Amino acid sequence: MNEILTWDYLSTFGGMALVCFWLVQLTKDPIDALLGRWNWHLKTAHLAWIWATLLTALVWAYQGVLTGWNIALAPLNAIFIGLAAMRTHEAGAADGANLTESPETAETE
Amino acid sequence: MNNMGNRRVVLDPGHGGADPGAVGANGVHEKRINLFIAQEVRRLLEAAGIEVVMTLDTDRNLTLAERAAITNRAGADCVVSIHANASGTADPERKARGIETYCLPGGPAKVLADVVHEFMVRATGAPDRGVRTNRAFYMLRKTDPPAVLVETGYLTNVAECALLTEPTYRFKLALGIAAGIIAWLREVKS
Repeated sequence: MNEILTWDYLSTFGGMALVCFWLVQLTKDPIDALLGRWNWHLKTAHLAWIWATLLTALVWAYQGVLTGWNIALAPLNAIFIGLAAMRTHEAGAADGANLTESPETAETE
Repeated sequence: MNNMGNRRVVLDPGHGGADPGAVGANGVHEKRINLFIAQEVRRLLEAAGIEVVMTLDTDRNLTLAERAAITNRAGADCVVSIHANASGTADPERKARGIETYCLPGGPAKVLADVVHEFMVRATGAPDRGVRTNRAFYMLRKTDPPAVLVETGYLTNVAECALLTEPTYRFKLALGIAAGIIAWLREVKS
């Protein structure tokens, strides 16, 4: 059976960032509603970091490498996974830099 | 779900009806791949509270002009055309594979193309053939909102064609496209 989510997929940066993105999407509103009872608010980026830390720890535990000083690295790695999951586009807003002009001239797609 | 109320997106599955689009190495028609992915993206976006307008949601004929007219009537924040690719005589061994995303040069769709493309590549691990500009694509030229056209993979490549016929792989593509659209709406349109 072809699984959508496998440990191999989750252990890749892209897979983890994508799963983190959707976890944030699925949980942001319920968590905001819950914390709102105490007038608390959790920024989306912070929620992404929390999920990324949990995912990293989970994957490393599965791989048997969540030990010793590696434990301290999980929340640090999670910063970048969370950033990737919550990608902002300042760099992409540049005026068309790094674009490849396609040679195709087809009139229809 | 992080609600994105008051947002509207047009999804345009390429080809349909008598026009099968590219025909894959295993005989699969591009129109079926495009429609399946678009329907998955629609479900994901609607779950996020985004209104979705499909140019077509069944396998039927629809001209490019009709697609553009539907898009322009919708008053949407963006339009994403979904296609699969095929290589021509320049690639006789059919080795080309990977994801390409197109937009018009110098337009507001550049950021949308970047984000959707990045999430698609990230979701699938497919070869990254880059974001490209193309003035010839009708849906990019004739639509009002920022428009991108994604080429989800090469049906002429045996391995990639096999992947594109797998529901799980197509769902990953849909996850990537939807994530890119949501991220763009949140960061750029908010």
